[in-house]
Amino acid sequence: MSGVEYLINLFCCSVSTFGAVLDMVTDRISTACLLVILSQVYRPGMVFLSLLALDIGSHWLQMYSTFLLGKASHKDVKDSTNWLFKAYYGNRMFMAYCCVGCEVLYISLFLLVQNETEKLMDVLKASITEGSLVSVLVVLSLFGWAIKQLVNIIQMKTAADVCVLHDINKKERP
Amino acid sequence: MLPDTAGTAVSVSFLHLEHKDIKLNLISTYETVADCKPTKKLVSWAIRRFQAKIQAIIIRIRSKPSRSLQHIRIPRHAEDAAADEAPFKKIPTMHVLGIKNFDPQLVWLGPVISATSVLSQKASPMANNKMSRPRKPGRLSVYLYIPNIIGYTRVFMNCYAFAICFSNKWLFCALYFISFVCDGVDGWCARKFNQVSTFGAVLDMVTDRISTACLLVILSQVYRPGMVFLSLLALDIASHWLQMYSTFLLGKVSHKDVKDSTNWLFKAYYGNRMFMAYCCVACEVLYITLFLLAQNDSEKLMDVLKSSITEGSPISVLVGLSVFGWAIKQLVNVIQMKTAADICVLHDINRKERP
Repeated sequence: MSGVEYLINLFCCSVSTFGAVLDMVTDRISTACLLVILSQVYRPGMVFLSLLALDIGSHWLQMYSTFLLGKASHKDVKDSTNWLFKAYYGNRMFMAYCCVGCEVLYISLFLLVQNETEKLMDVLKASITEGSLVSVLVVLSLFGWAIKQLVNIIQMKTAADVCVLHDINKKERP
Repeated sequence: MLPDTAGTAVSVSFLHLEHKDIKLNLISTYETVADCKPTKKLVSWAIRRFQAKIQAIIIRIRSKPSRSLQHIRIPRHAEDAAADEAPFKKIPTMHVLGIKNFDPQLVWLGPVISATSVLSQKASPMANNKMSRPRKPGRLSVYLYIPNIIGYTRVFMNCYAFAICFSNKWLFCALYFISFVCDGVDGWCARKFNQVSTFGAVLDMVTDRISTACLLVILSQVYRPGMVFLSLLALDIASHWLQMYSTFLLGKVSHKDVKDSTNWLFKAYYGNRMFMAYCCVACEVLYITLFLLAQNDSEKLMDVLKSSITEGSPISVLVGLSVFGWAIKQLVNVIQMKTAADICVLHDINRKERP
């Protein structure tokens, strides 16, 4: 849906702050709820709880640091030196693949659930050896998911640095 | 100044010699001994000793003003330029020293100071990169502030607590409650030790949100219907996210500074810190208590609530007391979401008005 919103924004040329915030909040809540459901059906549930924590924590810190730096969007990371950042944010197709891959992985894992509780590693192994459409989707999207989580972690560290430097610079300028 | 042990920085000296209209700025280089090779270390130490002697001489001269200096006026622009530039230059400019007009006692200082500065720069290459300003606190020192260390402890405590939440309920509740108490303690520590930092505030907020979210996730697993707790999770995240966004747009320091709000509930909630504390604590206490009350793998929420109210145990009393505070907090969350959304929209409208 957020792709459709992006297209609508493109054509209607009306970008509103409220729209951007609504977009971001809806993204976070929908991913969070999906992870909640996955943590209910898969064991160990801590995996999905940690992914939820990482998702919320990294996006929260990113937003905070974006505000502190005064950038328009956290996707404008032109001055970053990290090669992964440049690859991720520089190439919109790659970024789109990673985000979509993440969501596709979660949805596929949910579709693969047969019983009330599943062991995550068993399901993953079975999906790699199987040949069904859903399992192919899982394998294709694992790489994108991994990249996205890695970028989340690095972004959290970068955003924390921005907060700290903001304080240090504020102290210098009396 | 004796050389410090390797790795420590030598102190900066910034001497102002003010005598009537003359300012003599002496800036010595700022170097780290660890960056030099042994022979260069020795050389730079010797130079610093020499500079120390020069500074001692200047202090002596300063204490007995010379009559010949009273008639000397440095042109305004030169003095201002010197005052502006001098802190950022390693070699004092010659026009500041005013070689030709100075008292004979000070004439020899100019070339000597320049020479020693050049020599010490050559001896320690790293000196060029360091400015003669007081060292600013490093990033690591902010990360190691006491309140931030308390924050990290909270994070680890929460991680461990959620890992053992189903095997040891009481330990989980104890750890969660301690982490919640530390939330208030680290704010108090930050103010007491003057270690308030943006990073600390963000860490605090993020830890709060994640721990509440994880607790609601667990409650949604054990209680039916799970959607109730999922909606509470959504409301919590959305309202705090929007609040933070609107706080930034308004340029306020904290989303708790809502002095200009007209809503009576806001005034009551944010105006009275005790009431706000009661509501926040009641919310967490209700969630923990509901978790403790769950005996089976899945419980019906309404049944548990009804039985806890009719029972007389201390836990059910806690539930009864905290439901009111929880309700007020959720109501405030909803209103805050609406207010924050209004702020976002108004921000856009105002921005369009001002071209």
